Amino acid sequence: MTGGPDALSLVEAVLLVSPLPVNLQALRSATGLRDAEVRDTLAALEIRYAPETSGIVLRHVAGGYQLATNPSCAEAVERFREEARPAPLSSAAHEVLSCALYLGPLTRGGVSAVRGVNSDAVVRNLLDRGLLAEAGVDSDSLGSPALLAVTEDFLAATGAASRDDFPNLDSLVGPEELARVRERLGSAEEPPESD
Amino acid sequence: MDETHKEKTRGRSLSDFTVELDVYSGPYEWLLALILRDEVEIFEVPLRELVALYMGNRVPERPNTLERDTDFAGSAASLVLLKSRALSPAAEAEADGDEEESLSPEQLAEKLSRYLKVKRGAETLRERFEANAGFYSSGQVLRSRPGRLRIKPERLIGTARRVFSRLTEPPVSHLGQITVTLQDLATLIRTSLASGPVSYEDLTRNMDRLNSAVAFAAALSLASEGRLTLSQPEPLGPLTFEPVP
Repeated sequence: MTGGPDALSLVEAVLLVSPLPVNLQALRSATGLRDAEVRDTLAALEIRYAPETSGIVLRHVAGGYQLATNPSCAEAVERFREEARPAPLSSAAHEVLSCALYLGPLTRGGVSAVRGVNSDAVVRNLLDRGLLAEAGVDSDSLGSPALLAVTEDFLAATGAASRDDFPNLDSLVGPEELARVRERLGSAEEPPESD
Repeated sequence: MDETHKEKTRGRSLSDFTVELDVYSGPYEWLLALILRDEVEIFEVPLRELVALYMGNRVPERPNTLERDTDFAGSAASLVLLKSRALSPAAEAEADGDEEESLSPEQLAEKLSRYLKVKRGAETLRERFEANAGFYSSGQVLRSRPGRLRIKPERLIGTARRVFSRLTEPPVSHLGQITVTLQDLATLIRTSLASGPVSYEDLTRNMDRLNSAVAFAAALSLASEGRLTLSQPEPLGPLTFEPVP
């Protein structure tokens, strides 16, 4: 056997022990490889860990790279770890995350104002689950309430490499649908015709 | 021994009742606790489904059926009250001391359009969460690295605020003390029916909301046992209880 481990082995080893996505800079720093070498290695690892043939997959999420189990093996993993999959989020929780992602950072009051109902309990639950975090304060508002933003855990849980992976807010609703909203409001505002 | 068992289970006749809802799956008693602690939003609990689940699991032959019915009706009535209060904008505005802002049609349209977009965003998030479920990363725990831990004062303050805010128990004074039983109101309904059909409105005219809700649950219970029939000519129309000959 000659020399040390190759680039692929080094990157693979670092990714294996990290519970969090590892960004390029951290990979370079840990392995001593150059940027291009790390990128080539990641491309090779992506092939090695193709979901069709491997129980481990390489994910590009939350601004980094992560080795994770293949979801097709999830049941076996959950049985082994003796834990159930986290309960799916409620509709309200998805709405709060959508507010924070698209309109954030914003305060709890801001979230409630957009949704039209008090969202404190949902926010607290999402903070506990690590999908939301406080990211500064709104100094212009009375009491300087905390500003809420989505976290890296959120990006990882949604399979997003960055916030840019999400569709633009304005593209989510077509102009025809918005026109229909305005039309309905307009007709609701008109006074009933009198004889 | 029987007495000891009764003592242990007093007020906990629903301890073996589990529910399966979209927002929660598990013991019913825990669901109540989570709602009271604001960890499950009352808006999202479908009360009709909850009642259907209870009725579906109900075994009239069980020795403590009446006690279970009473406990369930009492807690369900409280949930109805809690949900109706939570959904009432007037109550919330009063509590906050705010007056309802009046929006121009343009502002309202803008607000609704923004909410519609956020809602669509939420739907795409739901799909993404579902598509990315089941990935498990390394179980390794990385040790924190000395010298690289940065504590931002504003985040420390925020965390402290969050920790201490959890010590505040949610206000439950508005729920009031439950002082009525399903059995009492079932007896009242059966007595009233002795002289012929009786309308729900007449029966509950002098009752408060809790008693009215429990009276309704009692009527449903009697109807399921075949002791009365319910008639309502149209949805939300007057409800009449008729004795079964």
